[in-house]
Amino acid sequence: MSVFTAIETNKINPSGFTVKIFCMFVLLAFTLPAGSGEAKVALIAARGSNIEVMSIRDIRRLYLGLKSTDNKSVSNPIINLQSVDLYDEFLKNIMRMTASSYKRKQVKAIFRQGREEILEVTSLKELNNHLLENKGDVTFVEITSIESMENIEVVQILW
Amino acid sequence: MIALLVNSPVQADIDLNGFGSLFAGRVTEGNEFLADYPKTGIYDNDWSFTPDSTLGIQLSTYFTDEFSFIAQIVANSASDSTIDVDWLYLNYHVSPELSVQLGRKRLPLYYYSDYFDVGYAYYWIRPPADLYTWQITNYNGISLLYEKNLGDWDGSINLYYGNEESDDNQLLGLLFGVPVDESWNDMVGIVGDIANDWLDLRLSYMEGLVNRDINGVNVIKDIKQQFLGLSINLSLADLQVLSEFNNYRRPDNNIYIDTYMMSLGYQIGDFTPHITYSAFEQDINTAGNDENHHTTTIGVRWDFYTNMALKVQYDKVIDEGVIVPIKGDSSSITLGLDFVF
Repeated sequence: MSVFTAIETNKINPSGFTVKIFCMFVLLAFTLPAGSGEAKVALIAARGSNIEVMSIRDIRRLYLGLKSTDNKSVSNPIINLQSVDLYDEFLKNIMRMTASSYKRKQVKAIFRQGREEILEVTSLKELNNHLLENKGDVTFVEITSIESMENIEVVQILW
Repeated sequence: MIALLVNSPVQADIDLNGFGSLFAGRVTEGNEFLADYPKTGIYDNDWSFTPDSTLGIQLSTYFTDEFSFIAQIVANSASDSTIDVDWLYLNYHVSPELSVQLGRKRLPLYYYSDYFDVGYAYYWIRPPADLYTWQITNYNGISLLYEKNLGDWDGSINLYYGNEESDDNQLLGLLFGVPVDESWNDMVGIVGDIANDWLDLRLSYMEGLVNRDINGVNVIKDIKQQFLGLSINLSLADLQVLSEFNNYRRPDNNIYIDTYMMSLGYQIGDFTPHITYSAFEQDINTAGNDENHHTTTIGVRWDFYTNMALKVQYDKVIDEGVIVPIKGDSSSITLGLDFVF
């Protein structure tokens, strides 16, 4: 018997059911990875870049303006601003900070240690062209976007 | 390093970044407020844009993946000089984690020393003035920077050596009332920083020699000075807890100074209200130096647009120096805009 049928037939206490549903949501919130159920996102590069899988820590390091310690084939990270929601999710899941905190960190890195500014690209076509012209550069995109891009390879699934 | 650069294939990428601050303020109670010690930015009872308004440009040239050249110039309306060269150095990455810099850099004594003029990077209009009372803000020399990940922690160690001369120093000229030439020589320092998602710890130590001529007469010659600073910063979700504790000593001149600050900021959407208490406390000595002042600051930062923030801030200063007062008690209001481009 499904829980819904059970409610209709009053064979379980509705208030008890509410508690169970609530507990299930709490449990899910703590067990599912961030972003679960949303579009999957991947780290991509131009085909032939030969970039091996990186640790999340190294991706974070890259997007803080530091050099990768895992993989010498990686050149520069590119910020994909095609979708603000995707950008915010990337900051939440990978960088573990808000957009304003990340911006302030970037400003500090530029003006504190002279680090190179991370390029921001707002269209998928521009992003595709940039990656093809700059082998070794990486960015993050929704997996569904990759179909409309050319000569791109997935380095790894981020979430 | 230069030989390596000459022998490297040149493929220069150039980045231009800038920052600016446009602030107006005035003293509402009292006579004057020394908002920026090194540049002697002073507010009085009339509205003024001069003390806190700044424009800076940074030029970064990347010759290769390993070699870069960084230059940063700053124009500040409070400063006597038209343009100050804050940074002018060659950077060479020996490895992804180790780099060496040769040239002119900001002197990294305090937590906000490196980007003191980049107001966009912090929530105040300027870092607490009671702490940033330094007359020498740069050095010419060499530094080594080692950056390493340790688990969830990002760590760095910066070693540096250098010298700086300041003829007709602005801050000392203001305090002594006559021209003062100052040089800090053989500065050797170390800065250690370790941070994770919610905690940032920074320890800074420097020692070197001071030389000072007041009105052409040498009064300090090769006297040893030491600086020790500790910063503990917490980011707990939307709450920021910032702190800084510094000790400066020149034992041969019987000078011992403690400066410290505690600050709380809470981000509510695009707004960050904040409150800060800071202090400068000098032990009274045989020369009668008793500089002692503290400030309570309340303000709000509003990130209203990409790369721009509006800020308003109220500062209340209590000046308890009897023999060496700075500008007396004051209350002041400042408001304006920080931006980066």
